[in-house]
Amino acid sequence: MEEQPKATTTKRKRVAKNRKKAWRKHSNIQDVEEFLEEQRQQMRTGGLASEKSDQDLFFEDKDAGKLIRTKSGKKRGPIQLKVDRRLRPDPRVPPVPKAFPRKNKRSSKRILEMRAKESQGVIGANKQRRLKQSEEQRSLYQETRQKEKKRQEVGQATYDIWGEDATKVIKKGGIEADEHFLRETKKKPKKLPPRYQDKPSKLPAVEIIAPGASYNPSLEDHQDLVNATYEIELKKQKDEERLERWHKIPKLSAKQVQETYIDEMSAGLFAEEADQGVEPETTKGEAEGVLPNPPTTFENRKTKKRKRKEKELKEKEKQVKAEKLQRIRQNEVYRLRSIAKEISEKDAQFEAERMKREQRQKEMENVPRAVGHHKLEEEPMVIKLSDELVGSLRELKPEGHLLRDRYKSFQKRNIIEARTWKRGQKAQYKEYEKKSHKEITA
Amino acid sequence: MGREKKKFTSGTATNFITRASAVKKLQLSLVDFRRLCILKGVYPVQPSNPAKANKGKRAMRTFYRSKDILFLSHEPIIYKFRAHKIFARKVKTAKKKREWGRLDRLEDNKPVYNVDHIVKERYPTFVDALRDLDDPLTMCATFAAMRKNAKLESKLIPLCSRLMVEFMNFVIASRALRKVFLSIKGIYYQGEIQGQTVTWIVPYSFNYSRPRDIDLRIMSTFVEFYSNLLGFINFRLYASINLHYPPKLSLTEKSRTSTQLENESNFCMDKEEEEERVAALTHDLAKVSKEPITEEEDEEVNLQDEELMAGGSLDSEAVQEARAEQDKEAKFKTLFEGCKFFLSREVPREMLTFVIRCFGGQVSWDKTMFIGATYDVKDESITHQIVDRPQQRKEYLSRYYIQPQWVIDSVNARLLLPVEEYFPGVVLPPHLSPFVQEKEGDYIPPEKQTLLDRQMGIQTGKNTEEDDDNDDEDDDDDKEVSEDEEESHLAEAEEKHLSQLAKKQDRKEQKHDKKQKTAESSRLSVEAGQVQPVNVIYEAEKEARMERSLQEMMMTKKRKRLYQKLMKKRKTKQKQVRKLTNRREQYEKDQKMSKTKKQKSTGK
Repeated sequence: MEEQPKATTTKRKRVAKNRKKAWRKHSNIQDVEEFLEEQRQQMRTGGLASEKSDQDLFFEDKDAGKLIRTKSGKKRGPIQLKVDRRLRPDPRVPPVPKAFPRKNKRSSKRILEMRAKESQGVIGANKQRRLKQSEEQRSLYQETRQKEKKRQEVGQATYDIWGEDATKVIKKGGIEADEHFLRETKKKPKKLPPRYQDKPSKLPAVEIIAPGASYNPSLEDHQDLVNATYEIELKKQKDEERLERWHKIPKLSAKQVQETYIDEMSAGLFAEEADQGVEPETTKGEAEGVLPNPPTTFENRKTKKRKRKEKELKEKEKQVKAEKLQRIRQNEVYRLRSIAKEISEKDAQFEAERMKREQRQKEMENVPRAVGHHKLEEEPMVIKLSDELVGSLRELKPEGHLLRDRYKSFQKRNIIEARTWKRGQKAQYKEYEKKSHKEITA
Repeated sequence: MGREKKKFTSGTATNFITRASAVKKLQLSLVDFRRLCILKGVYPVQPSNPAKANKGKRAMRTFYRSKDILFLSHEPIIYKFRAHKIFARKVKTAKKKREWGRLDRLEDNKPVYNVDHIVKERYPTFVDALRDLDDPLTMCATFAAMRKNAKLESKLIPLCSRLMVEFMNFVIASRALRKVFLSIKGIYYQGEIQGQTVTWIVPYSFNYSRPRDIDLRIMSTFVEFYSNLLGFINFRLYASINLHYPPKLSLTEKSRTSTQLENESNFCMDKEEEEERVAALTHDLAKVSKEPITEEEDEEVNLQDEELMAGGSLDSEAVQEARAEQDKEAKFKTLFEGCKFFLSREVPREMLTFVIRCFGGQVSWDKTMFIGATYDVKDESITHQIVDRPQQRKEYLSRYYIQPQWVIDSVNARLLLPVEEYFPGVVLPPHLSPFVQEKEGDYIPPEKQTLLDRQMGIQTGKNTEEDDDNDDEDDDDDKEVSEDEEESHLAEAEEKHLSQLAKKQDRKEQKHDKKQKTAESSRLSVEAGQVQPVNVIYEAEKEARMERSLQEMMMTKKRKRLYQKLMKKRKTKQKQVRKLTNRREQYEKDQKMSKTKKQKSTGK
């Protein structure tokens, strides 16, 4: 049973084609049919290809060179998006007629006359005035725009911004604007927020460099600078070491510490018990053993009477306390002096605290604020070691870059927040060695 | 009882706003927000209680004052930022669709914003702007020295360099420079403009690469604002001394001939040439009105002012002191007057020209080096040629060949220093910082001491040439040297130098003079040895000491402790000074020893 389908698939179907009917039915004539169909197609579309001349079949491509050139050329014609093409009117579809065809407004006789005059070159006074006005406005607009554009390009101040007539210039593009106009058009300048003019830091914009950083320093100055740099570097190193040491210590939670502490302290004490295996049982018992409240006995129960007594006692205590307080208050009249002293002492204490606070604030003035996610990394001091000093302006190789110096200065003065700029840090080029040009090493 | 107040609805929690919520509130991108903050001068702050400001969360964040952000929200240029966003989108579409016509039209109507009103807002008066001039100048100078960069707007760098040139021209015209310091980082300048001290740094003009880890977008926003500010400041400054703005050259006959000298080889277009000539800093600028303000009137006004200040009495000490100070200043401003410099190719041209011209000197260089040369090397009237190469052929006897440090040191010393120490090939004296002011009792290195002595008019060491005053050495010990006398010393030093220059041509005569002078000086030294005044001083000191000890005894406990503390401090300082001097002496001795050893070894 299982082998039967296999036999059918592999076995060719054997049909006797000795009869005309069977022959017609079973012979494969698909290729012939395709060929004939193709020929018929050719006949329908302008004759058989095999009978045509070469000139009819092929053509010389005269634009071949041109096409290549246009491909390489940068400026090509505009690209039409499919979406735009679809939105264009279809030439085959006639335009939709207007529902209400508008009649042309019939002009009045006067207007017609005026038009006729205008066509001859005579313009009325009214229109002349309007034309003149618009012309003036246009020229003024063009002028101011041109000026502004030039100023933007060249960056040249064309007026005194702190002069008397400068405010008017700022207000409305060269034309004087009044208070009402500004208010209505919401162009009146806003009031400055408090502390807007304050400097964010007391540090100077340009910090004077140490005299040892001269290109040709004196011995003492140079030594001072070298020492200062050395000290900073030493401190940095020490901090790093401290951090490293801290990292080496295994970090445990308080609970873990407690456990290890107990282990350490009790080492060797309960060795026998541990051997006997008693310890696990006790721990188990402790975990389960949360003691319940003791059962109430007849003697211990709280009767109504007992509750009342307790309440009364409490109230009495309260009363006694209040009376005592009252007495103290009344007697305070007699110790006015000591009260005054207390007050003055407290005042002095506040004053001292305030002074201390102010002192700290003053000290902190020059310390950069934490205004961002990152801590400010101070730029290392620029320094030249004694063997790097050349003593000649021609051979001097400057240290550091002023751009970085400015950037750090802004950060130090809390003008911009400290940050790590990932994008700038990555290398511009990747270096690799080509297989075909490997460096020859002997 | 009222309703329970919710947490974080008032106080610190609402006075501050995080950056993220500020950005959201203003509906800007972070980049635009940053730019807006920089332009408007709104800075992040550290709240007194960050935990409260952050509504109980512990993460570190950047905070702004809520009122500042509210103020920012009214800024009209925010609309321009938004318009620019749309503009960028349109440009992108047009480019992708290759609609070039549309692109041109868009570029023509590009939304631009103006920061004039912000300048006025941040600096309501001109003095405010002057006080904050350090930052704009340093930033513009830094950008002016930078290379072209794809991340920078193309016109920013030339704009910065032009603004700097304009400013430098103003400093030259108003003689406002006071101090110069050549550090390894850059050149520090300090000037005094309308009573305000302005300090700025200019990088050395090497085209060194920019640091990659600095966000140029942020820095260029700063420069954008500062260039606007500096433009307005320059406008006002030029107006204050009656000069054309933008700067124009006043071509006097002298300079015209020099331009003719160069015109044979046309370098560039006329307009560019004018700009380059202004940048060369060698020519004077044109005044708006031709009539010069008479200086006599000015002086009269000054005198009247002084009288008023001193309460009407002309003879009072304060007035005299002020006048002496003024004279000193006036002399300092004309330090290089009458000197003609010629710069060799290897010296920094712009820096030296700027410094020399600020003190009235004339400068020129080889005409093929840079535009704006005013005279040729062959000019016999040149007094100083600045060179920075050890082997140099000295072709002209009528001029000094010196290293560039002489110019800077002379300016810092406020007098023309002797040129011998600055000859080419000579080991230069150290370049000291003019910003250091030694306090009383501080250690003063020997180089500085000689400089101070020179300023006081005391000549020490090998460079003694003339000594007209016999009392000079006696005055040395006296503490009360009046300013007037100092002034006279200064003047003498200068006169000496100038006369020396004149004498240079006639060498034989000079030699003869010198012989005479040495003879004179030897005679003087014999006369000066008087012991009496020293003794008097000693006695006085002794008496003073006794008096002081008596006073000390009379002090209260509290004051005595304070006094002793101060004295202890002073003593430690003196100890330190002694230590340093000893060390220096030892060092110099060692140097000498090693030198002699070397000589011996080479001799063998």
